[in-house]
Amino acid sequence: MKKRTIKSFILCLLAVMLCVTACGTAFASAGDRTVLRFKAVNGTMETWIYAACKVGDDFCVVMQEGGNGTVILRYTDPNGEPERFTMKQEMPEYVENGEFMPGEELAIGDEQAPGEEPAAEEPVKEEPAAEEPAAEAGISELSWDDLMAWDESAEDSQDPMPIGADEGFNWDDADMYEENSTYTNTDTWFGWKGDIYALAVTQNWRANTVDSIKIQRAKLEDGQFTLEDTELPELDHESIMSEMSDGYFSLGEPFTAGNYLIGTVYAGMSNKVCMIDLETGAAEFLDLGEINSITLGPDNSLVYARYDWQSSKCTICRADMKGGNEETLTEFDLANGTISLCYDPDTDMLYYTANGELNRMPQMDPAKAEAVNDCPMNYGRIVPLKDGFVVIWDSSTILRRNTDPAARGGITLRVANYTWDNELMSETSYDMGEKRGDVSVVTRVMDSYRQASTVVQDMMNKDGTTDIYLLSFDGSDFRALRNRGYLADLSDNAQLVENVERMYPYIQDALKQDGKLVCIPVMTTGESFSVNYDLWKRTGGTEEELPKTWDQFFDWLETLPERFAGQDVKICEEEFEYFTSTVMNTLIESYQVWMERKGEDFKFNTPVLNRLLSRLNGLDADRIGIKERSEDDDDYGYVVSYSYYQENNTLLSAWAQLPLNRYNSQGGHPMALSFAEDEDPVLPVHLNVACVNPFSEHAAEAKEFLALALNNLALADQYAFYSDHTEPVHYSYYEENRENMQKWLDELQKNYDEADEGEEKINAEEALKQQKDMMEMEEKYSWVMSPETLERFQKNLPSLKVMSRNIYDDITQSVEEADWAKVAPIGGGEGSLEDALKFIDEKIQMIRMEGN
Amino acid sequence: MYKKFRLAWPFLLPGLAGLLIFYGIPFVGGIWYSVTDGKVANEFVGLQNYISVWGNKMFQLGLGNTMELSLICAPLLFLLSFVLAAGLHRIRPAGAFFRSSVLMPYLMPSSAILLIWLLWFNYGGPVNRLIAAMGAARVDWLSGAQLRTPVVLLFLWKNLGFCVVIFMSALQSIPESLYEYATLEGASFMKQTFSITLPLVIPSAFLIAILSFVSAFRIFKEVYFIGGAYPDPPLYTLQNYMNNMYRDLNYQNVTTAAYIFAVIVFVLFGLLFLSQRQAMKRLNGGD
Repeated sequence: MKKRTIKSFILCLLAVMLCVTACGTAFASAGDRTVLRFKAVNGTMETWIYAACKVGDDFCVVMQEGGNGTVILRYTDPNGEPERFTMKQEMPEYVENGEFMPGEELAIGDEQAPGEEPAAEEPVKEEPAAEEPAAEAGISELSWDDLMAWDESAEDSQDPMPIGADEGFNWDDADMYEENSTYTNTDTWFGWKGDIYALAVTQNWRANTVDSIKIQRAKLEDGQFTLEDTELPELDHESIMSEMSDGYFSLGEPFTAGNYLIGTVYAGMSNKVCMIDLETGAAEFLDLGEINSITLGPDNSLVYARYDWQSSKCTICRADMKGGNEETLTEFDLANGTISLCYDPDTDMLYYTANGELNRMPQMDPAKAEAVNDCPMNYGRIVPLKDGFVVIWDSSTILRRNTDPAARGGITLRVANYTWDNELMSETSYDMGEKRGDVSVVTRVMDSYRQASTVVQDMMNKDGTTDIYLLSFDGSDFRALRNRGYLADLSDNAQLVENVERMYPYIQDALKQDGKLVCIPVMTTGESFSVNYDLWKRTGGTEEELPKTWDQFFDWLETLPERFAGQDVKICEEEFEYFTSTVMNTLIESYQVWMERKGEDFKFNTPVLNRLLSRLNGLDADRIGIKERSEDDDDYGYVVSYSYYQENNTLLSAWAQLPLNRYNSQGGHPMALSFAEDEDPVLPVHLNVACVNPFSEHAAEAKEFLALALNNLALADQYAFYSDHTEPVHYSYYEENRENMQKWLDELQKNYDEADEGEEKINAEEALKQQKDMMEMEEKYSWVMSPETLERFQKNLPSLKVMSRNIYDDITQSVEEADWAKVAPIGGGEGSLEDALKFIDEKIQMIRMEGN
Repeated sequence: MYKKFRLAWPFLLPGLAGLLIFYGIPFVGGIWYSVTDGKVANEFVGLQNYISVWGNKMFQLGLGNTMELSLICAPLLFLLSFVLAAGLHRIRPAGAFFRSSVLMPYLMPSSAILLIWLLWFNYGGPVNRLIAAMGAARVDWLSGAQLRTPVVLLFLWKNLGFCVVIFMSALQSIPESLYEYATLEGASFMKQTFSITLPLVIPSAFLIAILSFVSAFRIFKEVYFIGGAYPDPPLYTLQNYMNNMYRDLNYQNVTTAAYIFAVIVFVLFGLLFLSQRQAMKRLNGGD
C-alpha cells in the first residue's frame, strides 16, 4: 500500500513536471508579444508606422496604411484589440501625411486651412479626368528626395521629371505648375494632455522653403479622425527655419515636457535640440553636439546619448534644460551607434535599447543598470506602459516587452553579426518570438571595421556565449573557423538541409564541408559593372557581338563611340575613374575565382593578368567616350542626370549587384567574361553566411532560428539561392495600377472615338498615345524580379562561384603606408606593373609557406 | 631563522600567487595546446606540432631573422650603453641632464617614434639627403634588407637609455675609495677597470645582457608598423609568424613556436649565465 502511494506520488510528480516543461513556452513568454508587424510585399512596404506615443493612459499608433492613408490605432490595453481611426475623407488631399499627393490640383498651392471651404475667387478646378489616374498611378512611390534632386538638377540640365513624377500634373498649364509647388506633411506626431497632435509643415518644394508650421489636434470619433486646428498659436516658422540648413523641417524623437515640445532637428552639419513652447509658438535651439537620442529625465533634465564612431563607445549624459551641468552617467561599447532612450517618471526608470537588448537604469544609477529583455530592432524607440511593460517600435513593428529581468525568456540566443545588414536577423527574431516564446534573441551588430573580432578568442576559450555568428564567407574569421573545424554540423536539422538542397550548386558547394552542412547563406554582396543588354539589342546589337573574354571586352570598349556615333546613346553615366575602378575590382576578383576554379595556387604575376591590367590602365577616357572626373565634381562617381532613368540610353554602368542585379530598371546586368577563349567565363560572388558556435549550449534552438532565417531572406537573395525561384515578380501595386491605367486608357479611347475631327481629335490621339506609352513603361519597370533579370541570371549561373578568399584584398589592405607605392601600379599608378604583381606574389608565397 | 621564514610568507604569497596564476598556469596550459590538434575535439598528437612547426620554412625564416637581429642588437646595446654610462659617470655633475635625457626615448610610444624614423629614412628624407650630399647614392631604407638598419637604430635609440641608467647605478655604487687606493698603489686606468670596475659591475652587466636579448627578441612592433603582417622576408620575425598563426586560429602552432623559442632562449641564457660565472671567477682570481 505504502509502495503504491509512493509510486503514485512519483507518477503525479512526473506528470506535473511534464506539464510544466510542455507549457514552459507559455510560462516563459512573460507577456512579450509582437503587437504590430508589417512586412514588405514583393519588395514593397505598403504600411509603415509614423509614431507610437502615450496619450493619457492609452498608447496610440499612427501609421500610413497603403490605400487607406493615415490610420490611428488607440490601445487601451496593449494586449487587446485597438480602436481604429481612419482619416476622414473630407480632408484636403494635400494634407496627406508625409506623401506627395497632388490630388486636387488647384488646392495644392492654396494655403487654406484644412476643412475650410475654398475661396470663391479660387474655385477648385474640376478636372476629374486628369485627377483620377494621377492619384492612382502610383505617384506616391516616388520619394520626395527624388523630386528635390531632380529639381536641383533640372535648371542646369533641362532634364525632364523622373518617371512617374509628372503623372499627376497637368504640365501644359505652366502657371498651375508654379502654384502647385506646396504641400503639407505631418510626419511628427506626439501625445500631449490626453490628445494626439501632429505638426503640419507646409513646404514649398520648388522654392525649398517652409511656409508654415502648425500644431493640429487629431479629433478621434466614430472610427474616423480629422486633423483640426487648435487654439495653439502657429509656430514662428521663420525663426525656426533660420536655424535649419535646408528648407525642410521635421522633429526627431519628439516628447513633451510641460508646455514644451522637444525633439531633434538637423541643422547644418549636426543635429540640435529644438524646444518649442506650445503656448507661445516660440522655439529655442540647444546645441548639445552630435547626439543620437534624447529624452526627458528626472527633474526636468535632459538625458541624451552620444556616440563616438572612432572608439565605438556610447555615452549617456544628463544636463539641465539649458544644456548646463552636464554629467556622464555611463559609457559602454556600442557597435553600430544605434541607441534609443526613454525615461519613465512614474517608476524613475531610464530605459534604453542598445546592442540588441532593452536595458533599464533605476534612479539614474549606472551601477544598477541591467539588460532586461531582447530588442530585435536597430532603431527601436521606447514608450513605457503602466503595467511594467514597454512598447518598442520602429517603422514596421511594435513590440510589447516585459521589463522584469526575472520574467525573461528561458533561453537567450545570442547572435554576433559581423555583416552590415541586420534586417534578416530582426525579422527572424520576430518569427522566433512567435514560434518559441521561451526563446529570446539578442543580436549584437558588430562593427567589423572598428572593432576587433572576438570569434578567435571565443573559440580559444570554448566560449558558447555567442550562439550564432554572421560572417563574411571570404573573411579571415570564417576561414579560420572552417579550416580549424570550428563550424557546428547543421545537418541534423531537417528543415535546414531541405532548404539547402533546393539551392543552386554554386551556393551548396560553399555551405558544405566534408559533406556536412556547416553554414547557411544570408546575403550576397558582390558588385560588378553592368551592361545594358536591352539597349544593346534595341540599337541593333546581337548577343554574339558581345565580348566573351576580357581581351575582347577591352577591344569592344574602344569600338563603342564609333558604333553609337550619331545615336542618342551614352556609353557610361558615371565617371571614367569610377568605372575603371569597378572593372579592375571585377577583373581581379574574377581572376582569383578563375585560379581557384582551376585548382591552381594564386599567382598574380602572370602574362594574362599583366596584359589585362595593362590594357585597363591604358584605357583612354576620350577614346571610349566616358567623361573623366573634373575638379568641380563633388561626388565621386555620382549619377547626376535623371535622364538616365527616363531615357534608358546608357550602355554601361559602374554598378551592378552580383549575382543578380536586383536594381535593374535600366536593363543592366553583370557581364560574365573569361580569361581565354577556350575557358568558361567566371563571375565572383561574395556571400555572408551564418554558422553556429560548436560550443553553443543552445545549438538546437540556434539551428531552428537559422531555419526560420532562410524563410526571411531578401527576395533577390531567394532568387539567387533557390533553384525553384524562377518566376518573375511584379511590385505589389502592379495589378492595381494596371487596372486603373486600363480604365483610364478605355476612357481616353472613348474620348478619341467620340472626338470631332480636327484639333480635338489630334489632342485625344496624343493623350491616348501618352497613356499607351505610360502603360508600356509600367509593364517594363514594375518588376521586382523581371524576366530579363532572371534570364540573364540563368545565363550567368554556370559562371558563378562563391569567393572563399580575396587574397588580393587581404594583402593590399594589410600593406602599410611605406609599401603603398609598390602596389600603386596595379591601379594605374606610377611604377612597374610587373614589380607590383611580383610584390603581391611574394606576399602570397609567404602566406602559403606559413601554411595558411 | 625558521620564524623569519614563516613571517616572509604573507609578503611573498601575493606575488607568488600572481606569478603562478599569470605565468605558471598559462605556461603549463600552453604545453597542452602544443601537443593537441586544435580541432573541436582537441585530440592529443604528441610532438607532431613540434615537427611540423620546426620544418615550416616561414618559422625557420622568422626564427633566423629574430636570432640575427638579436645577435646584432643585443651586443651593440650592451656595449654602447656601457660606454655611454662610463662617459656620463665621468662628467659628473653635468651628467645629470644627460642621464635624464637618455631615458626619454624609452618613455615615448613606439608608434610615435616610428613616424619620425620613417620620415628620417624616407627616400627623400634627411638621412638620404646627407648621403647624397656626401656623394653616395641614395638608399631605399624602407624596403628589403636595408630596412634592418633603421630598425636596429630605432631599437638602440629606444632602449639605450634604460640600459645606461642600470649601468650607471652599478658604476655609482662602486666606492670611490677603491679607486683612490688603487691610484695610490700605482694601478693604471686599465688595471682599475679590469680589477675594480668590471668585477663590480658584472652582476648588473649580466642583467643588462639578459634584458638586451629579451628586448631584441621582442622586435616586432616596429617591423609590423612598417611592413604589416607580411613584411619583406629579411624583416619577417618569429612574432610575425606567431601573430599570423593566431589570427588564423592556429594557436597550436603559436604555442609550439613559442615553446621552441623558449627552449632556445633558455639555452642562450644558460650560456650567458655560465659565461658570467666564468668571468667572475677569472676577474676574482679564480675564486
